[in-house]
Amino acid sequence: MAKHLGEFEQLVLFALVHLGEEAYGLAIRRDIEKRAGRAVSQGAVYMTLNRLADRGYVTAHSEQPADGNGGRPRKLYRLEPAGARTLRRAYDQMSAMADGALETLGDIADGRGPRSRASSGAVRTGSEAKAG
Amino acid sequence: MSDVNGRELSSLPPLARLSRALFTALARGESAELTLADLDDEFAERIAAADSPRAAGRAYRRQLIRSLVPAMRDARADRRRRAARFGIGASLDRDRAHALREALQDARYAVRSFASSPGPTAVVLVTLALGIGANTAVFSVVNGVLLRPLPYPDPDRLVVLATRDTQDGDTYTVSPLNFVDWSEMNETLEATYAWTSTILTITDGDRREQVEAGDVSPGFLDVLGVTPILGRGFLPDELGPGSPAVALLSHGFWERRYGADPGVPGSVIELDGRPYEIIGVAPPGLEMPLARTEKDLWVTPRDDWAAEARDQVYLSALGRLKPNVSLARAQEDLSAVHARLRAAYPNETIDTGVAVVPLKSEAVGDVRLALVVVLGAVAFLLLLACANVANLFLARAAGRGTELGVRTALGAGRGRLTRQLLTESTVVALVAGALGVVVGWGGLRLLIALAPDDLPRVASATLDPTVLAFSTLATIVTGVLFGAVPALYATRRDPVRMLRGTGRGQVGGHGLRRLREGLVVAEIASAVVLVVGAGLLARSFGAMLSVDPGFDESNLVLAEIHVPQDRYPEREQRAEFYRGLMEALEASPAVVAAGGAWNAPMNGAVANTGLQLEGEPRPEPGQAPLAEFRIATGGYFDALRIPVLAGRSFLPSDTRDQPRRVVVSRLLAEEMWPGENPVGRRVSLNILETDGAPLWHEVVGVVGDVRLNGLDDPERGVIYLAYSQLAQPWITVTARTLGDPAENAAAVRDAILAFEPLVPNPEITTMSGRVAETLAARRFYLTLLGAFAAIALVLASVGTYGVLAYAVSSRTNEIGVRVAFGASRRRILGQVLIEGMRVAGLGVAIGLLGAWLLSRTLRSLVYGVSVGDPVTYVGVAVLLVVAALLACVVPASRAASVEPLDALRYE
Repeated sequence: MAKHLGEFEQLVLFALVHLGEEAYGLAIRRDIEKRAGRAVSQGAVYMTLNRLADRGYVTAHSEQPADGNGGRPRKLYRLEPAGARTLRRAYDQMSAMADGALETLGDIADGRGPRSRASSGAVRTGSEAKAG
Repeated sequence: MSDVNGRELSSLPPLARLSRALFTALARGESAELTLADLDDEFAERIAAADSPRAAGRAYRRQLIRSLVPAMRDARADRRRRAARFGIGASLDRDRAHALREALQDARYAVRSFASSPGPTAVVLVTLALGIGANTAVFSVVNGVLLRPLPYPDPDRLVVLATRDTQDGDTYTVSPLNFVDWSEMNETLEATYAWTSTILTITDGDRREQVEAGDVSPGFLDVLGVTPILGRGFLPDELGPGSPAVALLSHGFWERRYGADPGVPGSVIELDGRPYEIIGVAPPGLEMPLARTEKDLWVTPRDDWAAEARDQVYLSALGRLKPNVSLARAQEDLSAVHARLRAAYPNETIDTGVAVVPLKSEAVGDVRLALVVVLGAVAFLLLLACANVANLFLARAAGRGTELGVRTALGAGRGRLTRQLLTESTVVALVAGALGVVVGWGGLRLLIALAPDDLPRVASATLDPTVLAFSTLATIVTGVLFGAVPALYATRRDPVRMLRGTGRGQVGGHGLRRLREGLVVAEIASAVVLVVGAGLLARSFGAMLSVDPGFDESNLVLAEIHVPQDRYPEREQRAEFYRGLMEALEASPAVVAAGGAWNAPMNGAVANTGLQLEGEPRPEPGQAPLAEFRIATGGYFDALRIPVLAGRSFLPSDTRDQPRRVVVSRLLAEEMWPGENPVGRRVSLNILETDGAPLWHEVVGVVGDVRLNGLDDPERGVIYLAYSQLAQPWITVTARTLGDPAENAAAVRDAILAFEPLVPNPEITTMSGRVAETLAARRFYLTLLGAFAAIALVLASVGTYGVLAYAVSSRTNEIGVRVAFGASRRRILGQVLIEGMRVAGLGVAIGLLGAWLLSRTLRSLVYGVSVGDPVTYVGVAVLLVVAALLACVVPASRAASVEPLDALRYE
């Protein structure tokens, strides 16, 4: 099974972390919409959860009906240790890549073009960048 | 409707409900169920939070649509998962096999149930086949004429170069001198050529033959981007009188006259007495853009273009843009070039500019609007067909409450029933699509056969697969949508209520009936729009037919004649030839009166000249009053029965050694000499002047006005010159015959050939045929729109009938009770009629409004009536109401004849 996590899979896993015991389909979708600010389809959320379950990253169990959810059993999802490790690794990789690149990224996005090394002073090493 | 938890979802708006039904039918599995449950929750929450049902419904719908594909994919993954878990690959196959079996079962069931009610099924099929077929045929024509690329390499780079009148923006032909300068001074065109049409006579060999020729400048093949299949194309210096005369043969002419002999290049053909070297043969099917006739060959121009005046405009010009040059850039470039010419030759370029127009838009310019109107009409027709089918489906589903109830009670799920109803509508749509292909194919053949000659490229139009696919898809979507609506109604009730049979096993009730009535209103409204359109065109056509062309078109035979120039090279000889020819014709027993003209009416020719009146100052360049000019013999006015209102027409004594004489039309006389007798006054025609000195012509008579180019052409002032003084090498003989012109055509031809056997095959037509040709386009569009309107009328009537008949039969019970309690039959009859008229009246009102709003697009196609013509609108309203009334009569009289006992026993 592939270790790689897609972007949307990462969003779903983070939502599980945030929601803890209250992680069911609609809540997960709303959490992603609230935090990431993007529209997400409910069907895609379930498809992704099932795929993550196949890989052992999440598990699902049914909660007994309680007040306030229309009286139907809800299906709750929980992040498993394997999922947490993989998510952590994926995030570390991404932030390591992002480190020191964000300023230039902003310049390019604003249309100023990448700064030349000469004008931005000394060449920074990876460790310096991390320290900064 | 209730959700998965049994909660009522009655506040779900209809579209959201429809989406939900489709989602349920298409996506199965746990994820789909969970998604639905979540969205139902969310919807309920939003409503509880005082969100508007519309906004909440929209969000709901959007979520469902976007969730559909993931849910379906997840269901597939789920099946795979289960198969893997149990290690049985067969489970997946079984799943598939089951679904397939189910679908086949549904399809078989659908076919059986349609076969059991052949009448309504046939109506549905015919309706749809007509809609799909008509749409496909018409769109194929539009595609062939308007959309298909021109048959040359990189056709988008081909442009027409035209002179633009800076006063009114009109574009017209080009002067040779301007063309040469434009070609040499521009920076954006790769190649250019200019041409004019001519008819030449082959003068070598035993048999004289007229050929259609194009005088072309050397860039001809370079602009079009084609190479000859034999020999070579024109060389850059093959222009002008000093260069050798050469000819390029068309493929068809090469096959016809030379038997496709590959040794032809290098040989000589004599045209109008002058030898031309044949340089090559064009590839098959080479069309000359914008030419009205198919050319047999192309030759170097005989006139010396460099010797013409700069304001003599008679050439058509085309160019090929250099690669990556935009139209705007080329226009800018040529405008700059022309500005330099205007500075250099101010007097000859008054009010002129240059227009660079894509060849495509120029080639289809005139017919675009008419075709778009027809396309719009046929789209209405398709809509109408779809509405009708939807209606019939709804009626069908409404009557099936009992059946669906039984099946639900026996355990059929909602998804299962919905799928089955959808299968039924899809089956119908597919069969109708197949019939539509047949109708479309036949329709296209018919359209091509009926199309007027000036509809460019129509003959090569082919049935367009994209359109066919689109039309079929449109009907399938209609089928699915309107198959789904009854499914929704049918499956939401609980089976006990359905079986108990409130209202004789029907489903839907009030909402469904309103929907059906709405559809009928839409149908009637569409029909009104179409019938009004057709009505306006018909009224225009009638108005045109009643126009007096100013001459008597009956019993007139026309013959296009080319004088053998080697025998009659001088004007005096030709004048003598014409005088003798007219005498010979009038001596024929078949001919009552004979004359001739350069450009007889209805041949599409435009030739005008500026005028100067004697005793008045010379007008500034570009300011001279304009008149159409024609050249005629004295007998021409007798033959056409154009009345001589004052003075006289031309006499044989008006010879070239006499003072120049003209005859003017009534309108021109009023314009030039208001309130005076023009006879005896003198006028100069700019076009005949040399060195800017007036050439005076004495007015000897005034004749009646004629419509020159079509009955919708406004009357124009015409000045007639005398053939006896200005004999052209061509003439259109106009012979008034004794009786049917078609029967006497041979006698006219014989008389001409008896007088001069060397006249090459005179082309014989009749004036009434020419007038009909000018009406052909209008007749074509009228026929099309008329046919659509008739179909629309029938469809709308069927729709009205269907709704009312159903309403009556579903209320048999109620009517029976009312009759039993003493309601009179007349009253019941009246009530049903009023109900029908309510629906019809609403449809007519909406349709009239729509027609009025759309009618402005017809403005340029309508003649002699306004687009808001009250006669048409009132007439159409009455027609539609009568049609609706007829459609109501059968159900109404059935209602009125209900026997109370039968009705009560009916249950």
